[in-house]
Amino acid sequence: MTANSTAIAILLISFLVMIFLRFQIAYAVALSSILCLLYQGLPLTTVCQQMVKGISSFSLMAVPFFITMGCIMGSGGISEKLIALADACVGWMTGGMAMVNIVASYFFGGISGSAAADTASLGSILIPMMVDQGYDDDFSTAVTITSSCEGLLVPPSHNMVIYAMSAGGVSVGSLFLAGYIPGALLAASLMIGSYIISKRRHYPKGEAFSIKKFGKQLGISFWALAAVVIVVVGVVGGLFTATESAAVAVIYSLIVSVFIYRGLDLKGVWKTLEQCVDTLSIVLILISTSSIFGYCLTTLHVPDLAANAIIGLTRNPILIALLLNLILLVLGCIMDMAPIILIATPILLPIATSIGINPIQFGIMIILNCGIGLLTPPVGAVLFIGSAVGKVKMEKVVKATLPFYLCMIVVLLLLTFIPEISMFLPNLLMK
Amino acid sequence: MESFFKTVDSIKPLYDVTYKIMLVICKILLVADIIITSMSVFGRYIPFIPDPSWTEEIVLTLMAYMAVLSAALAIRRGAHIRMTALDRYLPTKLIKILDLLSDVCIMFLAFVMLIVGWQYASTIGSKGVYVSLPKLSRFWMYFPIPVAGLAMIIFELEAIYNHIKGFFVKEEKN
Amino acid sequence: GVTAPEAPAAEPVAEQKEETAAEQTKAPEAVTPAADAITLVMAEVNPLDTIVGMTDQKFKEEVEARSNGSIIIDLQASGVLGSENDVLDTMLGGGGTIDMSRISAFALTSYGGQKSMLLSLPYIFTSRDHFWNFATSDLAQEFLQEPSENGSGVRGLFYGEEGFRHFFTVNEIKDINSFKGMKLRVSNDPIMNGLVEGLGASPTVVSFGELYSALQTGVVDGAEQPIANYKSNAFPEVAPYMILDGHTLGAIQVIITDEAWNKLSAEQQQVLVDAGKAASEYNRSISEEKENAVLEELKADGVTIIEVEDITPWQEAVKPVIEENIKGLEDYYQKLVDMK
Ligand code: NA
Ligand code: NA
Repeated sequence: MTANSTAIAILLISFLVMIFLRFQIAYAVALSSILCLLYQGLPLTTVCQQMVKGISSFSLMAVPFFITMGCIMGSGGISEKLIALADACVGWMTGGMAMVNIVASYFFGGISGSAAADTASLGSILIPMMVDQGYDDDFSTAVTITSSCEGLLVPPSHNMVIYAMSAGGVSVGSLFLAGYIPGALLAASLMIGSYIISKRRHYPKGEAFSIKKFGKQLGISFWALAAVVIVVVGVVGGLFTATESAAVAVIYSLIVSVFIYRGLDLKGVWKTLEQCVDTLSIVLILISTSSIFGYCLTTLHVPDLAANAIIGLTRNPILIALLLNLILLVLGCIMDMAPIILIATPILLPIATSIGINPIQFGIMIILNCGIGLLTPPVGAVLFIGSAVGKVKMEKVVKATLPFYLCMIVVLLLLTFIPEISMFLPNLLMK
Repeated sequence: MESFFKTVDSIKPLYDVTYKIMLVICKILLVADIIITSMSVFGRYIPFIPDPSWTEEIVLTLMAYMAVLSAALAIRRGAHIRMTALDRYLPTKLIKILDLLSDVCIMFLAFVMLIVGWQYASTIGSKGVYVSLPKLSRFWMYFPIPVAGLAMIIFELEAIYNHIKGFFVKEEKN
Repeated sequence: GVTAPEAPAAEPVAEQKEETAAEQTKAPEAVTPAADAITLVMAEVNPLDTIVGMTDQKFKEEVEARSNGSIIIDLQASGVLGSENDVLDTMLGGGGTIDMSRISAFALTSYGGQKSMLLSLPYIFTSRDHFWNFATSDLAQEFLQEPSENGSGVRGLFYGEEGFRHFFTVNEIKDINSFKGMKLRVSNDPIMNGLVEGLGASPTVVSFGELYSALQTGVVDGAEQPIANYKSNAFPEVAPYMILDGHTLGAIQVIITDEAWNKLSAEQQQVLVDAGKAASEYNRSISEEKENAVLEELKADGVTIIEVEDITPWQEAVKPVIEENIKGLEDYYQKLVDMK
């Protein structure tokens, strides 16, 4: 065993042991990294540096802002109106609210381009909404986090920009186009999954659809809906970036809550902020300490080692394709998305192209694989955010997500073996 | 023993106040971040609102303080995510011991953050400044880590004390 | 149903695959590492196939060959070790995890690098040769020692460049006057902000990761990058007008921590210096060539390239900011200007 592999073993094993010993994950991740650094004889300054670096990403700021927006909408009466509208709209369908959640992520997550931001924004509105209507909290959270991965595939997606750069100048425009159908396919697959579960668990069916009721609720929720419109129009129309839209959304929901719906006064706003801080206190530190862990994995060349492990294992193109996915899924369980894309792309892309996978198609595959990784323990930012926003224990969420992992794997396999799903739009429009 | 715990318990109000003050600081930091970010958006279109180039770096720094301070608060609330799936198979006593063990280890982490973090922040602080605000030392970018270390030590002391008290109080009742 | 991708016959595929994979992961390692070899971790924010990445690669090969494998450079490219400032914080804070790095000379500005700051003043170098006159001069050696003298704990080994930086925009531009009222994304450094304001445009903060989308949706009307980065980040797709104003020449340097430097024997230190010279020459030979090739490709892809006939109005636009920022360094500034 080389020094490096011992260090990797110390890192991973001590982490798993601590998790099973009921350590708080945010700190277990830091402690195992410290053990690993000490073994390598490296100074612990890395811990401080990476903790700060982990939260110092501007696009990450969308997460605290959207969580704040969700809290304000919840206590300011905006969510209530949206619930009533959604009920009037899809309450008659089995699992209607789950469908709303999934469709909303296709559009809203598409705008933010970040699964974490999508879970923070829609999750903090939709999970309480679903629970209110009789859905289990773990199911609601599972639907929220899995559907947030649509946002990674539907453009704009800054992870695709990272991939394009590491793949050596793949067209971002083509990648963006390639994401629409896979995103829709993922949505469809999750809808089927939710429908089956909703049917089994006898999730609510509201009253029959009435155009009158719907019209009335639509009127009442005008200002609430305008929040969504402002974000979408603002980002698509180029008034602000996706991250900035989150801050603007907070200001807007504040104005509507205080001055229009009058569900909150300034004292109430101050009180609501406590809820936000409570949720953020759990989420941000996890993102911060996980980055030390990711840094250790990176400097120990774990992605390279993992990729090299599959080279020469088989010559069967189908098996190679499956192995590529497996490697990415395993890496996704322990690492964040951007570092995987940066490190694994130059190694895995040549293997992928050698078995006839187009670089654009591979980009979509890598994004979905890493997206699944965001939802899996032991390190999964979106899983943590979902668990914090939905106030459900992590392991309960994981259990409820099991059928949805399956839905996602099915989509992944389709994307791997049917290139046309990804390539149809770019081939059609980018000639 | 009981009188000892009673004496120590009398400082609990002090902890309540510390918690409240830190919570207020966290709220202010969050509000400041939202205001600064919005200001830079509106400043792009409205002439009298400024849109300075330092917004991004400052927003990130404030968020770092918010993140680590609020995380220390979550220690007191016992809110951090942990795996409790196996709890129902474990004897209560073992769970208590494990809780104590994890809190002692986190105390160690807190000391690392306090000591190494202070050294690091002061070293880099003497060498670097913010890119967009050349007057501001880079010390402030990394200062959140020792601050967090200190805050964690404060609340871990309480948590560890509560565990130990739990052992004795339970034994006495038995 | 599920169909396998069209793959050529299995045999050659596997061979080809092994070849490419080996090439990608283990860069041509002609030298076998000595048993007691010192490994130096080197950070690079760009991918290996860029001008700077190729320069690093050349430096690595030269060091390993010249030292007979007693120094091994563990080159970690594509920014996996973090942004330039992250890497510098690690190196300057005594992190010990990164020994060397290729950085833009400008990056040292926020760590007290006053002389390095001069190198990235807008329009200070009027041509490539002008820059290389400096880079091969004694003055360059003095500049390279600056961080070490400041007590930063790092020292420069050699200079290079990654080409001139130019502005590019979403909508058609003709000359300097086209920028009035535009929102331009520049880094958050005060001098670049001053330049943009001097052009009558407003500097807008957008993080690099959101830049493509920001150009596409119109949050900003333009930005600036070296030609190679402009292409590799697919910016021509959303902003196909580039004006060759060449405001700054992307001066780069390779630095090493004093800690790592002092670990080396005098002989090994000399190896680094000589390898640096070779890498620097290599950088000079490829950067212009590669940049011109990219420029041709861009033209072929339909990008409108606008030449700047007279640079004087651009220089005028930025004069106030420069004067403000070179206080106390006027002598050095003049020396640099005179090197053309
Ligand atoms: Na998206
Ligand atoms: Na969702």
